[in-house]
Amino acid sequence: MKRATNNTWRRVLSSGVCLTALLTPLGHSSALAADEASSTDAATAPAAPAAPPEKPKIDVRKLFAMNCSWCHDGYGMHAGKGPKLAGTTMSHEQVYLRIEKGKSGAMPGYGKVLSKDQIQVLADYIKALPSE
Amino acid sequence: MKPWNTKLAGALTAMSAATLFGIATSASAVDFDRLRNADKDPNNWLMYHGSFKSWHYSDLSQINANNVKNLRVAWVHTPSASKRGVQSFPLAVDGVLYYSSASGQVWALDGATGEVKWKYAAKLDQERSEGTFYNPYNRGIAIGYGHVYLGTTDGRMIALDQNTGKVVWDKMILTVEGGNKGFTGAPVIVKDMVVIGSNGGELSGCCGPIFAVDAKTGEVRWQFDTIGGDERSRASWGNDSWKTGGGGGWMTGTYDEATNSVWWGTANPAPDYDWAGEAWQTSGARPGDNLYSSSVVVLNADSGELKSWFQEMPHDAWDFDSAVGEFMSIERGGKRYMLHPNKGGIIFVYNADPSHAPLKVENAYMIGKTFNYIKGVDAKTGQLIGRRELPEGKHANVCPAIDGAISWNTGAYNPNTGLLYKVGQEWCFDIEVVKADPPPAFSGQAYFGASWTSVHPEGRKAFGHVSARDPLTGKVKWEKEYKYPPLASLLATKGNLVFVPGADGRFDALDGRTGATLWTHNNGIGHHGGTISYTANGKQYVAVVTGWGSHVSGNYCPLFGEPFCSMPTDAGQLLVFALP
Ligand code: HEC
Repeated sequence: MKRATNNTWRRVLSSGVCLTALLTPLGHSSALAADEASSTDAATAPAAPAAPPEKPKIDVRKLFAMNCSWCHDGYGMHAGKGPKLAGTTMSHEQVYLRIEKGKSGAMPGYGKVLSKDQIQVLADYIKALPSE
Repeated sequence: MKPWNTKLAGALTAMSAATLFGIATSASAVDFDRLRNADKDPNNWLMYHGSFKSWHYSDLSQINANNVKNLRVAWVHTPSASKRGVQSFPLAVDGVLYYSSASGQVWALDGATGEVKWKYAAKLDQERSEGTFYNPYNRGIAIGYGHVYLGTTDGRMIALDQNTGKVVWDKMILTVEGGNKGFTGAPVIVKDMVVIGSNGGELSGCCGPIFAVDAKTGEVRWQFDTIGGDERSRASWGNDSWKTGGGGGWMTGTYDEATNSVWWGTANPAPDYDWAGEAWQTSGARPGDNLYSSSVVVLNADSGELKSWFQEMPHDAWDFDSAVGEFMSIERGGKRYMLHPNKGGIIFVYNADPSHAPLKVENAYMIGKTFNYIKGVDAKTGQLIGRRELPEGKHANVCPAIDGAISWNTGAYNPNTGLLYKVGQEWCFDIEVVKADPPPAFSGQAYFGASWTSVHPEGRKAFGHVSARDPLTGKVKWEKEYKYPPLASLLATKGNLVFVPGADGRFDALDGRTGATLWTHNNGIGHHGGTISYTANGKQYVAVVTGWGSHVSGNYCPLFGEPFCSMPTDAGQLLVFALP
């Protein structure tokens, strides 16, 4: 096989170096938490409510912007590729499950990418969005 | 295996050998000679872009401006599980129609009657496929050497027997440990290889590869990494950010025989969006130009080596990919040009000679009308003028929105009218950019930091248009406004027609000379796939795929209301039209 370019990544993988440690949800969430300490976001928050006080370390709006806003517009306040989330008729538990498992052919599942705490905080956030 | 079974198997092997032998000489064998000459073969539609010229033009004229009013449905095919609609291009080979639908299904149908010849459904790694934003659609297939080729959302390439739909080979091409990248675009046959690009502009990880695999065996012959593959690229991503950089080439490019080169458009860099603002050269998530994201790359067809490139969106701050696949090859005054539309609403006219590196821009013009992400584009150099950066924070009324002024479906060119037909879409968005935390390098996780709401352009409602213009100068001959921007590919025909599959379900035939609507048919659901023409038993047909639910189409309910809010996103069909 001829390779036109110098592909470091592929060499890393094929030389047997295990990347799994880097890919765990834990690795992701702790990186997020570490960065949160130096980040201020509240000043730019629009109408939607802020993160619930019991989870002060997770910036839910940022989490939303990083994972959900590709399809759910305006921090969940407007329909886009996905539906408006404000005023969802789903229960908290159903919202949690939808985020964790996704919906086949419509929305990816986040069970592997986000920690339980992060999913919890997103579900809290969505259920607290003003319904009108 | 029981003895009689062995015998049967032996007989079958002998039979398929005979069939194989038969293929090599029968009319249905599509060898590279046929593909090279596809532009002179109007009875068939042999590849995604029709021919390597990418004109989306049919030289048939049984159906024409005089009789198109009599056009009616000849037959319909309904595929199963059309999640997010049918987004593919049908291909027509010697009276048989082949097309793909969601989740890696392929159908072979009698081109005159719609009778099913065979069906194939790939078994996909659902977890990997569903982990991306780009699931489960498939945008098309390639046909050649007795095979039908398909890429899958879980990173495989599959070759099916063209006559039976049986798997000939099935290879994992794109191994992303822990990541979620795959193929949604249609492959294209180049010589004795099949070329396909990966998706993943918004996903963390290099290298956004484009592959050429052996048409007979599926062995990877070469791989070009759209990011991080060479020194020039790595040097244009400060702090080694190419390792989380996105890239890819998710639509279908073309082959230029005169220069033995593959032309391909590449996807945006990650993260979408960069929070650095004006200081992007030296700071932010990905300091520098971020080569070869949002670029055109020209590769040596035999080796995959980079011959030339042009970065249409240096340090793409808006997600205006260059991944649009069409490269229209146009000759005028003894000079050869390549036209490439960019999502930002610009048509770049390149000199087709890749010995200029970067590519020589002969002209660049805007077809989008509502834009403020730049002030304009320099027609001589193709450089963006007056960029509007999107640093961390809120930005109101950015135009066009993330969906661009040009979407991934194709325009068309009619050599008789000398006109380029192309759709433009006009709406904007309010966006807040946040400082996204980088996911682990190479992870394939989404790398993204923004939230937005689509809005109408200032002072008017969102709209679309189909224009007819000189392809090289951009001079408009006519333009027709559409209340709902069409999202599907156009087809131009020798019968002076331009077919426009509309967003609201209407399928229009326009007079290619004036833009007048000559015929319309309600297909009952929006379109965002391909449309072609072919013959079966000497009779001309026009085929179009339907179905709704792409990312861009998600804007239509919030922008326009009905019929889009209640339009299903899990249905679609193939409709075929003919004269009575
Ligand atoms: C690729 C697009 C996409 C992404 C990314 C996405 N969603 Fe979704 N989401 C959808 C679609 C489409 C639906 C509607 C599914 C259906 O019922 O058919 C949906 C539905 C939902 C629902 C159910 C709403 C209801 O009332 O039915 C919730 C809750 C939700 N999403 C939350 C999230 C969260 C939180 C994230 C980020 C962690 C996210 N989504 C990311 C596309 C997406």
